[in-house]
Amino acid sequence: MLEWLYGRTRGRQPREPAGERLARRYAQLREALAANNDALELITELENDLLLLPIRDPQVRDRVERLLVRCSDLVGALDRLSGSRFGDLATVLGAIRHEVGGLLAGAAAAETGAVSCALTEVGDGDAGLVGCKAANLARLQVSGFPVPEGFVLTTVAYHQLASGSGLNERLRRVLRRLDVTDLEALDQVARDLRELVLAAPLPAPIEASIRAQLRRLMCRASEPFAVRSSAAGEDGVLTFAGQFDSRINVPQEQLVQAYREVCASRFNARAIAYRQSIGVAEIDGPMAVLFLRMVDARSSGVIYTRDPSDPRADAVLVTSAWGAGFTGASAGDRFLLARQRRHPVVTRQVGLKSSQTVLMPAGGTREEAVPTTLAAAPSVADGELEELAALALRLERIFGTPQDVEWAIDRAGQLWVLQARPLRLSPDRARVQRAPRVAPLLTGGITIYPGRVSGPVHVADSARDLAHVPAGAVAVLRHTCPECVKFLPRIGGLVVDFGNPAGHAAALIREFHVPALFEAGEATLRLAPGTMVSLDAAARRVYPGQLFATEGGDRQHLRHSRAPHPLGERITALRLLNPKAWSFRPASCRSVHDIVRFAHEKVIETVFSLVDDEFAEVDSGIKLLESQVPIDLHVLDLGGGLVPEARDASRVRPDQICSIPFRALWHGMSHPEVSWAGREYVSLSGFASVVARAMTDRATESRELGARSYVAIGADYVNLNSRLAYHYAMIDACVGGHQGSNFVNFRFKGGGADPYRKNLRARFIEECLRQWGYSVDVRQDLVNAWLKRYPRAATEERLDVVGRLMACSRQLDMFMASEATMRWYVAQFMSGNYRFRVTDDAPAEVAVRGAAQARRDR
Amino acid sequence: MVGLVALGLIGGILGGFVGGGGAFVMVPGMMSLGGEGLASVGSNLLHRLGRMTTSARRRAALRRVDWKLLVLLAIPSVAGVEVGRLASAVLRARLGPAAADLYISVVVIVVLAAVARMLVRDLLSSRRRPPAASRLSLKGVMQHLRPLHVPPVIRFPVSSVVVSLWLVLGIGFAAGWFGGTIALGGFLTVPAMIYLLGAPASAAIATDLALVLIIGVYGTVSFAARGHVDLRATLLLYFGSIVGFQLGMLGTRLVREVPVRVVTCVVIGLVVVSRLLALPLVGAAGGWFALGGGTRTALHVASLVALFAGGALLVVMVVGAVVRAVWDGAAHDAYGAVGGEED
Repeated sequence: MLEWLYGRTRGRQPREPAGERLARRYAQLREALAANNDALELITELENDLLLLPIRDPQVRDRVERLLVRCSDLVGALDRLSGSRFGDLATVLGAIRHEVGGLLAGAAAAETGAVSCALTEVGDGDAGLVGCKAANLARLQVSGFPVPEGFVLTTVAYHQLASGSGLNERLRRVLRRLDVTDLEALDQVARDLRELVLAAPLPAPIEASIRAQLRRLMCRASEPFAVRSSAAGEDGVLTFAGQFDSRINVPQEQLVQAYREVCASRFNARAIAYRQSIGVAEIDGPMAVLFLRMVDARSSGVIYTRDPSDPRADAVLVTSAWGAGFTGASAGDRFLLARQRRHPVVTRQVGLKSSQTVLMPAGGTREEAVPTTLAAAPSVADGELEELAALALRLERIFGTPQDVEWAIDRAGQLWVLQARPLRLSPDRARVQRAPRVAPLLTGGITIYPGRVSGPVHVADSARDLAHVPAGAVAVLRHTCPECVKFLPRIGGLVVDFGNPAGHAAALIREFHVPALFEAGEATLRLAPGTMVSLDAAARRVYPGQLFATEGGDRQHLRHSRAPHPLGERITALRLLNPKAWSFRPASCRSVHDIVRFAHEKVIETVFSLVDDEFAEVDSGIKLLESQVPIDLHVLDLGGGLVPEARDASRVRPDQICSIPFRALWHGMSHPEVSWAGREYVSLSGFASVVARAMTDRATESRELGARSYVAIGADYVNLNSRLAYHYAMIDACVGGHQGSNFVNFRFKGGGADPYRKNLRARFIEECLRQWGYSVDVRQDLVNAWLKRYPRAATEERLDVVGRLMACSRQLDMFMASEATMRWYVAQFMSGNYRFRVTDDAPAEVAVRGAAQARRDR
Repeated sequence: MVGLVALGLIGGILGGFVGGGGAFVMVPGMMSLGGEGLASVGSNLLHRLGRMTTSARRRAALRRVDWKLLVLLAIPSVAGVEVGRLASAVLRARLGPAAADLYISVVVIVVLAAVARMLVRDLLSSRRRPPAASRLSLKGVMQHLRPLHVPPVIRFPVSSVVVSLWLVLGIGFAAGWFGGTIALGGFLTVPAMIYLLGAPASAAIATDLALVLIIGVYGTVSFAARGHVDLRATLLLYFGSIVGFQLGMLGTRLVREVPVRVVTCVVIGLVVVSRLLALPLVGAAGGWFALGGGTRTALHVASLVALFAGGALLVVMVVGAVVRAVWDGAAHDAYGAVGGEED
């Protein structure tokens, strides 16, 4: 109230002419909007940066600084516009700036982490520094397990390598646009990135520390090493199984090259796609590399402390073969041992091992024929088997979960543990199963990945609906979509009406082991959303009810929860969402993004209330636009927007306006085919919804219903703010200067109908604008669309489209009865049917109208 | 007397909350408090008129009136007011005051029940889920009306709208009839002008304001001339509603949208219940059937309880929100936005 009185008395002071004052305010508005746009752009970039780069990266620091400057510009502009009504905002920004400064300084101090460390020096909390694989081995070494000696080049070393080679900047650019479903493009990108790493100069401290570690181990100059990846996160919650390369039997003089190669393997196409699709940020999995003394293995193999094909059985599975590096790919020996003491062998399959991997004296490995006497003999003795099983079970007790252990026995008969990681068990997948005695809801289709799973049906019309798919659900789609890869880790099973079994989606589904069925006919119609069904992908059947296990354990590990980023919390996190809430005030701002959001909202609000007040008192400077289009636009010339003879008139005609972007926009708004009058038809249910809303809707938006529409114009600038019906539309565009400064911002919100219809209309606008190259963000009924740096002609054409869209989308919320209707309207808009005359392929709701039209035409 | 001030308070809060919707409770409320139907309508027409002309901002908006549209709406609306009033008046003269009360009660019940139903449907719909399929009786045949070009078709230069005269006349008459019968009607005209006529919002708002003013002035004069305006009651209502309106406006800033809608819905539903409970009393007053004294008291009390229970809920919610907001001030500062998430 006091503020209001203050504002009133200020208004009575002697003042400059109204027109100039308004022009100045619009200049301030423009300044504020420019700062807002820059700030939002920087925030988006930082969101990416914080995923990809460490805080200490100079690029992050640079962007943060620029963002703080633009944000304070915005706050300053708001301050001038509103007469310091939001003084606290600068204080809050100051506090955030202080905190951010502290974080950046702290990060710089943390820079000094060790480049390398011996395996014996690795502590419990060092997994982030040395990777999970190295941390696990170090833990075993401390607990007395036989682990080869070695050392680790930490993630700090990797960051030095990456920032030295300009890799981070390159990565950020590439990954922002990366579509993981376009496998060819992905391969190319991956190849480029790997070459970049291989060609990167190795920072001197890294080479020096390799030499120092070798000296510390006091090994002979000829002793080779195994060089293995140990990415942070690898073998922990996430497995990254087999995604990175390892080098074995590397002579000491080649360690540097091997290090580069292992680092480069971080950018295998599959690894990139995997990280992207499960939402692991690039920054979360930096590469540490483990160097272990090479074990000259007589036999090697893998132990699973549970039998994966029957996890409930009381057995330990040992596979083994002659030589080094047995991975289970070729024929080997397979033993099932009891888990009880003394571990008697339960089953024994001795394979014919015709070849083995042996270490070459000069480094590298070679496949060699196994002597015939040994080929059919077991590669481990019974005593060794018992020792292996006992060791693996002790290991399981230490880690608390079933383990997948890589082991080797050297020529002297000494047993070594080379790697231990959690074993992923898939419940009952491999066994032959009997069909349930229930009539299936659906039969047929093509198995993409076998498996049995039960879960609630989630029918998704679009990628957008998939975003809300509950964990463990059986997703049912009409088509596969590129975005669906993001949800694969989360869903239990997948049924698709169509779908190409040879397509990318199918490849990814196999990668993620999701039981899936394609070409399933009309699954989207037959399976009721929310009901529990059981999918047997191998038998190509869907049964009602819960017959199988539900998903949740197997791929659970893929769900990755990321701790809030400390810098992100203060910069990019957005908490102030609802401008109507009482908490929408400066003191509630917790991040730069909050401040930008708050300031922008208040700038718009302030400008409108000021202009409304001015207008109520003095009319000068503002001209009414005379036209056939029934929105009463009040025109304010900021300079150069009007032809000379119109400058003193109180009314102007559209052809007297020479602002380039306005003319383009107006061309669309006054397009002969678009209609600004009422629709030819009325939807009764839609109208009922509008009336119900109108009765309970206070003017809760920032502008009241019926407020005036204003357009500020300059030679190359237009800013249009309008309250057309129950919605609010704003266009801010600059066209004409050089291409780099061309932009269009479009904001649309509201509607008279219910939230469902309003959201559909917002998405109608989104779809139309996307097809014209706009970037669009839709939140409920708020549409934010932007276009930047298009050439002049292209920008003009797209402004024209916005003009048409503004006319066509009026009252459309009344008609938006369903997704299909929305899509029909999009198709009509795109084909130029701006009056939405009924077509043959129109959905049912629209077709009712068609009947009426046919009657009329007769 | 206290009852009238309280009623004004409830109506005011509701008005502050949801705009025009506040007047819904006034006529049935006054009737439950013992007012005669016609007098309740008359007093409320005056009450609304008083409230409306005090808003300076709204006066300024009158510049945007589409005069041609206004005239074509005003003529049938005056007729509508007369028809509405006459129906009640004739019933009153022929069959006694109880018959008029019964008529007005039934209209109130039908209208408010329909409104409540629409609100419930609207509440149940959400962004993800479409509203339940419309069960309007005309569904199918009339799903997409096309009354907009039945001749004669007129052009309105200010709004740049071309539309059938009959539609305009119909809207005007409906607005007038609701005003003359239950002192309501504004809720229909703005959406109708925007969504049916396609008028720009500013013109629709301005024209609607002028139209409501005309209906208000004409209705008040017409009712007052026949002694159907109770000045004392109007004044008491006014006192309550001034306070209530401010509270309601405050409430919109503190209470989130969904609770506001739910409570509005509950209040309107309870008004319908209250009026239904009062129907036998009206019948008994008309002498159509006899009611025992005990039953009569019970019904009367139940009707009042239903009426004020909704109001009490509303007051508790708003006052509670204000108190909580003040209380939470410190907590907000410490922990950030509590109500900040979008609903």
